[in-house]
Amino acid sequence: MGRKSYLVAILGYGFFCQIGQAVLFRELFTIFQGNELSFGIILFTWLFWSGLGSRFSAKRIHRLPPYGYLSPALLTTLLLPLTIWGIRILRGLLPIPQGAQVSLLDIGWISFLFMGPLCFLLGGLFIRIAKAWRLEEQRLDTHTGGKAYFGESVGTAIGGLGFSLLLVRIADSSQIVTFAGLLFAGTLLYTFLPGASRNLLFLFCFLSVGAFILARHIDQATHALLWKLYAPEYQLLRYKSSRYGVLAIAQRELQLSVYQNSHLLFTMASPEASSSGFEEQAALVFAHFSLLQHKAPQTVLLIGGGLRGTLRGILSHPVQKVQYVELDPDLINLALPHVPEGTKMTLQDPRVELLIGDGRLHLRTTSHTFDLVILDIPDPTTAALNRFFTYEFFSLVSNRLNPGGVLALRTSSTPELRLGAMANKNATLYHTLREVFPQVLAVGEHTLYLFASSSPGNITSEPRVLIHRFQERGISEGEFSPYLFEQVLLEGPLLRTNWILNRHGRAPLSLHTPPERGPLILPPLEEQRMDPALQEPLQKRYFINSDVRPIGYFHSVHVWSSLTRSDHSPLLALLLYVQPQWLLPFLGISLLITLILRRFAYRNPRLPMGWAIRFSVFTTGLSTMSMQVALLFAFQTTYGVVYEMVGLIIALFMIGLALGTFLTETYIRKKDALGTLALLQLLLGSFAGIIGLGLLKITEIPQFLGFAVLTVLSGVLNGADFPVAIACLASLEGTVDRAIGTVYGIELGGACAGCLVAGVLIAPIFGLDACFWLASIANLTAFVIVLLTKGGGALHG
Amino acid sequence: MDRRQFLKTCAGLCGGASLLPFLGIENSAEAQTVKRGLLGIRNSPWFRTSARNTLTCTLCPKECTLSSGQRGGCRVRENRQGKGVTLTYGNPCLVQIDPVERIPFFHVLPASRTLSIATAGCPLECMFCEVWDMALIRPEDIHAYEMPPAEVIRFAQSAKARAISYAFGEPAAFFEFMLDTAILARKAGLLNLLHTSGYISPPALQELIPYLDAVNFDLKSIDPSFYRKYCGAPDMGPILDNLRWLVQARVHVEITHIVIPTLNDDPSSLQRLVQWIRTELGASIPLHFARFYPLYKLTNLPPTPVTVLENAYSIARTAGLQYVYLAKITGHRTEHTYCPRCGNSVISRVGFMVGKIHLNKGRCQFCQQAIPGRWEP
Repeated sequence: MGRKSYLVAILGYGFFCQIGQAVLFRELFTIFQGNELSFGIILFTWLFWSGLGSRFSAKRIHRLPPYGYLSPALLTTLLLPLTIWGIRILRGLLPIPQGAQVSLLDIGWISFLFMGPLCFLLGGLFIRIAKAWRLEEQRLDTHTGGKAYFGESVGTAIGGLGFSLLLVRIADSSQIVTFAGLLFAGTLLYTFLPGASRNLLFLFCFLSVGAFILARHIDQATHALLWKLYAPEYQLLRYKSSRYGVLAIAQRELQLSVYQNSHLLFTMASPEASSSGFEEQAALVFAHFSLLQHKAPQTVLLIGGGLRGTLRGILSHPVQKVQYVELDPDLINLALPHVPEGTKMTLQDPRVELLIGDGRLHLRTTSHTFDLVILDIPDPTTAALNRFFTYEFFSLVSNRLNPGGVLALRTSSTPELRLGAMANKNATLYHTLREVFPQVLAVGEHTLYLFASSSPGNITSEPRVLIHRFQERGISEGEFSPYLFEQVLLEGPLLRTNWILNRHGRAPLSLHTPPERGPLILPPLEEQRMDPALQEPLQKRYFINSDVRPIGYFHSVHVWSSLTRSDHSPLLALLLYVQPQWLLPFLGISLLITLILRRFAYRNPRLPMGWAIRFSVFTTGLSTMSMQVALLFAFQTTYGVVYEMVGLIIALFMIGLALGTFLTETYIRKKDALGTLALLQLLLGSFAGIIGLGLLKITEIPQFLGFAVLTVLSGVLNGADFPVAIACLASLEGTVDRAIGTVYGIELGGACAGCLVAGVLIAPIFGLDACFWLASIANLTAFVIVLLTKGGGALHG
Repeated sequence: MDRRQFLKTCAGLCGGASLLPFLGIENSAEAQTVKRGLLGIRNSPWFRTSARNTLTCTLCPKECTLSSGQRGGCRVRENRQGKGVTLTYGNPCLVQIDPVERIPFFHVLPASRTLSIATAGCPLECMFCEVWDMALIRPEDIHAYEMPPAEVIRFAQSAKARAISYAFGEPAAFFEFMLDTAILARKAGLLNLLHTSGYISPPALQELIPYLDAVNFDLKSIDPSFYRKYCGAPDMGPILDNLRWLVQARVHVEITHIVIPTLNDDPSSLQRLVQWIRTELGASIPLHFARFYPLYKLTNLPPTPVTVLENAYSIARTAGLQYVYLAKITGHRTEHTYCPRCGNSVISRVGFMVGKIHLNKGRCQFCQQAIPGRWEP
């Protein structure tokens, strides 16, 4: 055996981890119906268990057999597909009624339970493979630790790229994890048994092919079983793992339901239905309502929703051109064979131009302008969706509207918005629209329709005007009666909804209390707009949704939590009380601990330095993850949800990680490791601080190269820190393997914390810039702490 | 004007203003006081002592046993230092003028206006609740209007409403307020319309019946296990008995049954439901099948397929029920009222909006068939 064989093993390990993480995340995301909080919890769980596994192995590394990593490694290759299949079956067995949302508690325990064994083993494997490699090279220093980190990073990068660019397009989840597992097992066999006979290798390849084919059948069977357990009354027609999630189309009676990540997207009539209008009435209402808000719309942009009936409703008006943008081509391909004939014909209508891609990116790049832009997409429960409800997006729309043009969108709601979280969400959307458009009308009870325009005269709340426009256009009524507008625009609810939305967000306690009701008799809309109470300034920080402060998705997640069986919305509500300056006591406590440890260093001289090294490793993990969260948010905002590009960004980070490790591997042989560690903390803190200061406006970076450079740089700085920290700790405490395990585990713990804090709290509530501020302050504090303890002497690598 | 004259003028104005209420000129600001956490506390006779310092609320079948300071499952009834109180007297959080069809009543004063009131609180906890942010909330967490019964009547009259509807929440939660308001409404010549799940103790309902003109009964299922699994109740309690008593008392009754995919929409459940109605209540009870839309704790369940509803309609008509409607499918032909004898449309509707009415003193204009309902005030 030689160095190359261990490099192969660690590459395989990195590859396997990345693939496993990507697929596991998708499966869990599907079970949890895909909101941003669930993503944060899943990532947190992965990092937690991996960190724990790493720490466990580090503490016991001397007792573990040198080459005893083979069994647990092979076990993980079996455990990964079993975990995925187990998750699918579990969903059907959970005591959660069909149609109910999975709660925060359920997300937590399911993630912990299912990811625990696999991630624990994977976290420990890194330490064990690194140790085996070190023993093989008969080294007592930390260089193999650095090389192992380098190899893992490269393997992760390859895995990330391979998954995003290739595997997700050509294979299903079971096949992908089977492939990754076999590849990892193959690298292990190559490493462990380099003299393997041809027969053994031939047998291995034969089994691999067989396993790959079998995996597809198992995948189909587990999907079918999932549906049978979860929704036995529904017939699963088709499913597809697309780049954006798992799509499924199911039928019951003459109704088709389309799901993405177990989240109901929309329903439509089946082709056998004699008339689809009533089945798709909600979509038709939205379409007609939107089209009639413009006196004579000719050009329309529809983002999402085309298959559920909205496009059909639009085309019944005398429009000349409709651009229909759908993100996921797999959605169209999956649903098209099953949609009613009328819907198929809409896509063949010569007025319709179907565009596959991100709607926001399309608006940025198109030269067309429109009379009407209709946004028919789900609520902003994820950062990706939230981009369509921000000030910047609305400004973009405004620039693409013709004079007198109208923007129409919809969101979930409740009559009179009594729930504070619901009022916060919808008032945020309303006020964000008002920041861009002087004319905004809010209508509806369980669905809130919002219409916005820069010019007066088009948008109206008068049902008679809408009915007149409908009749003037000669639209045949069929299963839609324009007199429905009399119902939708009932005066009482209309006045109250607009009154509440106009006011909510102005009073200091708006965020934490249900909205005011107003008097029993409310003035007409025109008078409401002149109400002096509206002079009170809006709390923009919490009620304007923007790319750099995506508070909209936090409010949506807050609403979601109140609808689940274990309502944790009060917990989320507490997060809204958090102020940025609350971070300072934590940093102050860290500095205080440092000073105390220094004071009592005579009892244990290693203690202050050990604390400083551990603190700096933790902050590196925290700050890097915090910056990654912000970079990914910013990237999606600018470039859209382009799956391959997101995978590329992650791969670039791993490449930066590997590069940083490689650079310092050479450098620390000769230099003072602790000084280098301090310098790296200063560099990280400065890098983050520059972006936090707004000198680099990350959401305005026009070229992909800019994101790439920032991502690689943050990876380099993170990667550089790892071998330096190991060298410091090993030098201080005298044990190399334990140092590797400790640093790896603590860094994962920091990343864990960074992911949760940045993703759930900092980014949406304080903004993307605050993520960089958090990173900067944490690293600069670590810099100070390391300097304070450095007086105890230099450490060398 | 010198200082003495100025002060005299001010005093005069203040004195005059203080007389306004006695002159019958209302101070509208007082009538419309709205406040968060407004509690309308009043002693309630619907408690019995069960042990020392422990009371049992007897208003609904759950019969919550409350120690001092404890509140019932409905969130609005409490044992306050040994006294059973309601917290929802005169503090409605919903006050709105509605078309009567919205309640829904299709056989009561068509195209008329009704004043709807509701408070926080409900003894049930349905997973498909449409007003969960009002009914399943403590009164401390919601804004409410200060509106005693007399003020409710006054407001209804000023808005030219012909009825008071106790609807959109669960009226059992504000029984005392509702009863006192109903008594005043009867004296004022206003109809009392109730929309209830029927989850109320029979004695309480018996006390209310004399003042009721029409009831829309929200019958969620005929199966007790449905209430256990999806409505937060141990069983149906006296719901079916309450329904029978209302009909026997000749209160006009209409039934709403929400049809929820996979939970209660199978043909056999629907068959049992309509058979029970036909046998126990009669063929002339109007029955509304309401379409379910994803909300509250069932946001991931699809809307009820239209074919399921149309099938429910067929089942009900085949069973002999004469007046069957499909609710929340606006524009469907089943929104109209048809004469069971000649088949003509006697009331046409689109959603809440009423079109042509071909009734003459409650009889079909075409064939003089009597159509059940409350057609005159």
